Amino acid sequence: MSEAQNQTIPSTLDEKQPSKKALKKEQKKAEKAVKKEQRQAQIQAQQVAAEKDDCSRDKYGVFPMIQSTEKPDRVLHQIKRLGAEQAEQNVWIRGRLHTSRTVGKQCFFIIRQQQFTLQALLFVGDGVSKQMLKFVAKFDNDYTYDVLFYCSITKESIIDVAGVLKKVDVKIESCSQQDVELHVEQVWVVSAASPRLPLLIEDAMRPADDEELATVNLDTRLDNRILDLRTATTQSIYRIEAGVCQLFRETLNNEGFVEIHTPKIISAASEGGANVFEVTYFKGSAYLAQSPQLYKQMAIAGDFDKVYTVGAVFRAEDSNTHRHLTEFVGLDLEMAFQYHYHEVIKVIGDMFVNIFKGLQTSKYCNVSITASTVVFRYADDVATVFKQYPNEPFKFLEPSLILTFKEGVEMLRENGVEMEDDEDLSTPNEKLLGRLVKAKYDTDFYILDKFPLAVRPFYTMPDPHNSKWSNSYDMFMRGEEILSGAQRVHDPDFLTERAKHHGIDIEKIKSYIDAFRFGAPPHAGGGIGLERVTMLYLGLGNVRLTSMFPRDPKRLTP
Amino acid sequence: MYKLEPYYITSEVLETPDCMYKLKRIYNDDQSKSENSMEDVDAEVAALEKRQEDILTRLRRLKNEVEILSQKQSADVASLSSSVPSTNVQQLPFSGVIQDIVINANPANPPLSVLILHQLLAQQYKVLAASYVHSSVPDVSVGLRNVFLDNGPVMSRSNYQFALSVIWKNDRFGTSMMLSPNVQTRVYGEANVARYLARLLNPAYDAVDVVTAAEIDHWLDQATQVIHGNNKERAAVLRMINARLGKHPWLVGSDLTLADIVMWSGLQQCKMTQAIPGNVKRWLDVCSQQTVFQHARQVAIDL
Repeated sequence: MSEAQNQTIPSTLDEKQPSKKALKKEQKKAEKAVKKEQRQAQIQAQQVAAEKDDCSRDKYGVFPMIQSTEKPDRVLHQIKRLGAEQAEQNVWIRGRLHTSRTVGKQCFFIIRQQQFTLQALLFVGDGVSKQMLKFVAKFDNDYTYDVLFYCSITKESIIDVAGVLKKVDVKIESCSQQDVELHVEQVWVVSAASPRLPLLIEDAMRPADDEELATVNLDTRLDNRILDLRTATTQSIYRIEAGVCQLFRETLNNEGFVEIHTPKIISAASEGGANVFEVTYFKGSAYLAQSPQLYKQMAIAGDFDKVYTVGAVFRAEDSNTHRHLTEFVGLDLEMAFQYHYHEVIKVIGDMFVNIFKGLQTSKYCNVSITASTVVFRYADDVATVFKQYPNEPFKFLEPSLILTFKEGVEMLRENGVEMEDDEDLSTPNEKLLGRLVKAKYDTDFYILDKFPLAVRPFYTMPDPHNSKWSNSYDMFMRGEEILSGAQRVHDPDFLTERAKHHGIDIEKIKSYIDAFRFGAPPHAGGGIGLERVTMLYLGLGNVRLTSMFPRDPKRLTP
Repeated sequence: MYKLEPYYITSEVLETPDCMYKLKRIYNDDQSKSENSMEDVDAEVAALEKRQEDILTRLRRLKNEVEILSQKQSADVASLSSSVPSTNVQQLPFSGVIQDIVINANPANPPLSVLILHQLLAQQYKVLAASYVHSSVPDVSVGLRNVFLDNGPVMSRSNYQFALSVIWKNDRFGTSMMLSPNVQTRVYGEANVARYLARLLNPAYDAVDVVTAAEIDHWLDQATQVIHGNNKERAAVLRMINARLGKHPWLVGSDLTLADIVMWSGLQQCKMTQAIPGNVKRWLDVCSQQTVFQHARQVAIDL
């Protein structure tokens, strides 16, 4: 502080004459520049000298940017397919530099491809120079190391590595490929990563309760989603999510459903009217679809019999909970039934059983898509996720357990919960009921049938015997609601009556009621949140972990 | 120092200068005080007595009301509470909520006695029987998967009094039963489950004939030996049954009882229907011809 004052005061007093101090400073600067030049020259000389006696000059370095200039006849191997059978083979592998460690004249580094890792070993000797070793990984305690001189590979860079696969005697615990390691001959950088990473992949893969080593919290993960996506756990989560979606489609296609696509920009709020996003639409305004409900039902009225749709759903709810998102992927289905809506419950229940069963298979089940074979192994992915987020495996019954709402209330009352018969389940009660059902039936999935009519939307069909109840159902996973559905009123006059009873302006929902004017089959359906199903199947604590780029009231990026 | 003077003046009353005697005077003071407090206590006790009397009269009034009500509803409250303290059978028609009896069973050892008891229960109550496969079991034969012919509700679930949910599950402790997780722990063992179901069938099970009940219990324990025991123990039980059946047609009394049902189930599960003593063979055949055994026998054959 005082120094700064000393400098500024004379300069204001006498501007033309530079002070003694300023002169000294300039002199020093000049000296420094000379030194720097000398040093650079020295380094260049060193570099030239080093390059001269570097026996492995052509075996490492940075590739020029791949601009599709050539088509070399070289096969890049997939790490996940490398095992003891491939031992003694010469292979080229492209992957990321996961970690590296130097011990004396050896360097161990791990190459990663998605969630698969392979240990690579480089040792100074035949064809491998010390410079090459330093290029791959600097010595941890080597102070003579110079950034300018040896520009080593940064973590997370994409590299091409050539070498020979060797079988190992002791299994490599830290890698996914435990039987072989790669003895490296060449290392080339394809795309370098910036040396400063906002989070380390190893940290992001540790269980949250690790007390000794660093972990990464959720916000840092989401802010740097691209790096977080590279962890084996996240890789597995989104493979499982894809699996849920795939199994949903597969099961329903087998049941004779047709996939439809519904508009996301709509003129009027589909359900109720609250919680919709308004967007400008040319000179007027429109809303983002809160549910494909109306369009599913119109497809049924249009004789599609059984339909499902997979698409974005928007909810303008300002709730910052672990299970609410403002945009999520909805798996919605609707089907016409013959006489009883339990036909629909059965289809949905069986569908869930199919999804759960599909996720827990460890067998390779081959599904041919355009002549090539895709391999699904969700059980391994589930195991990977459980490694970071330990949890009990998901349990379920086949066929799915169906209880009535009244039974559920009775179970809660036995446990001292005071509630009315026709009161909706509060979130704590929902959780408690989940625990009670688990204790009695040992299942994480169950269906609650016959909700009170009063807590359901106006289009819900009342129970034929007692109008206090309704033909509606909720489905729960690990004590949290994942699907809410019902038999819909398909008679326009009765629908009008119900809407009036709920005090809804008939004019506003005219188009909805009109959809049933030309005859509509009895139908029922429901909607599922893909992120929630994945989260609850894995028992993760936050829906943001299963949404790749989550949207909530406080997050609009990335 | 100056305070001494007033002390002297007050001590004029005292003749003895010894401080020991002061105690006596304190005593006197206390007595007079306690007399006063005794009166206070008396008043308090009186108030308490009055309150107790009030409560007692209110309780009596309540009891009368309940009695009048119970007479109106023609329910025998006294007999109900004495005969079936553990089950709420008699209350069921009033509550209107289905009572779900969940039975976990290992598909390797299907509790056939449950199937027979289900037949008996269905004669008496409206029973909804359903079977489920737990995700811990990789595969279950179709016969066990749909062990109840009428799988799933025919009418609305709320029209049934009981639900019998058999869950096929890999449980190393074998058969177990759960009714309400907050009032009980899991009931383990096929014989114990059968004991419970038998009391549902006959709420006065323990009251009617204590000796018979004890005899049945003895054979149920033997059946447990058959299901969970080793070959030596099984052979011992077999000898015991053979001896009994030499003189009597049934294990207990002169009619089919719970003992026969569970023992039959145990022998079927252990595949001990071949190479057995003559008396036991004859008894097994008689059992298998009973109508209530038909369904269970079919399941046993498919095993």
